[in-house]
Amino acid sequence: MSITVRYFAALRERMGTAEEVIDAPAGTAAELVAWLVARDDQADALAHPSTRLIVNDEIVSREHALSSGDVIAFCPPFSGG
Amino acid sequence: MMLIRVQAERFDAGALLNKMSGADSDCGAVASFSGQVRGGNGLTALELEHYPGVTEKALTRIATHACKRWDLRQAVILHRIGRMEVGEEIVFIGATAPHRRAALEAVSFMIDTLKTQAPFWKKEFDAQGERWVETRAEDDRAAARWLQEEEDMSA
Repeated sequence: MSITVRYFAALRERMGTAEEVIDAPAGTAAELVAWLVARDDQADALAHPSTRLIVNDEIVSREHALSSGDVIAFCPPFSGG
Repeated sequence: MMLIRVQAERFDAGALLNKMSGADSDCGAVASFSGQVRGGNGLTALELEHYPGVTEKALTRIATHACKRWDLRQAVILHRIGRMEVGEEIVFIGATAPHRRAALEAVSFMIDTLKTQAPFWKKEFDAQGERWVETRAEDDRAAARWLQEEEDMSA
């Protein structure tokens, strides 16, 4: 399935890109992370518990089931204000 | 009335406060918080990144939550993005209410929850280079305290 993946702040710098469209097997957000880590060691930071996942503009858990066309964003802990 | 804005441009906190002060005749209280870039430790500048669209939604949710919990007339959240020098303003939070406790608590609630709920990221610059700011445990505790209070109230 086609998924748009976005990376922010420190994760964007670590992954070397702000956004990519990938063709990943169907599954949960956690399974997508495992797939990304298998593809590229640098992606291990995505698996860190402090990394927040936002799918189609809503914060979700790692058990969230992804659908084709979803936009998933990987976010380091927020530090605004 | 709610005002939510994310902008790169500088803003005048005094002018925002004056505008809020005269808006509602039944308000006895106007409270605000202004955050600015802290110097010292060799810091020269900050850069703020955010998640366009999602940030505005998160800020709207925080202000809406404050309006439900306290009797407010106005709730204002304005946050800058991009590069800022030492002493420049970063964020303005404001609330007006008939009574002071509501205005003061709402401002405190909005800045505490903004820090953990809105997708902003700060990068610091100094003579040694640059680094992303990490969330401080006390920020997490401050936000958690408000939610704990709500759970206690509904229990």
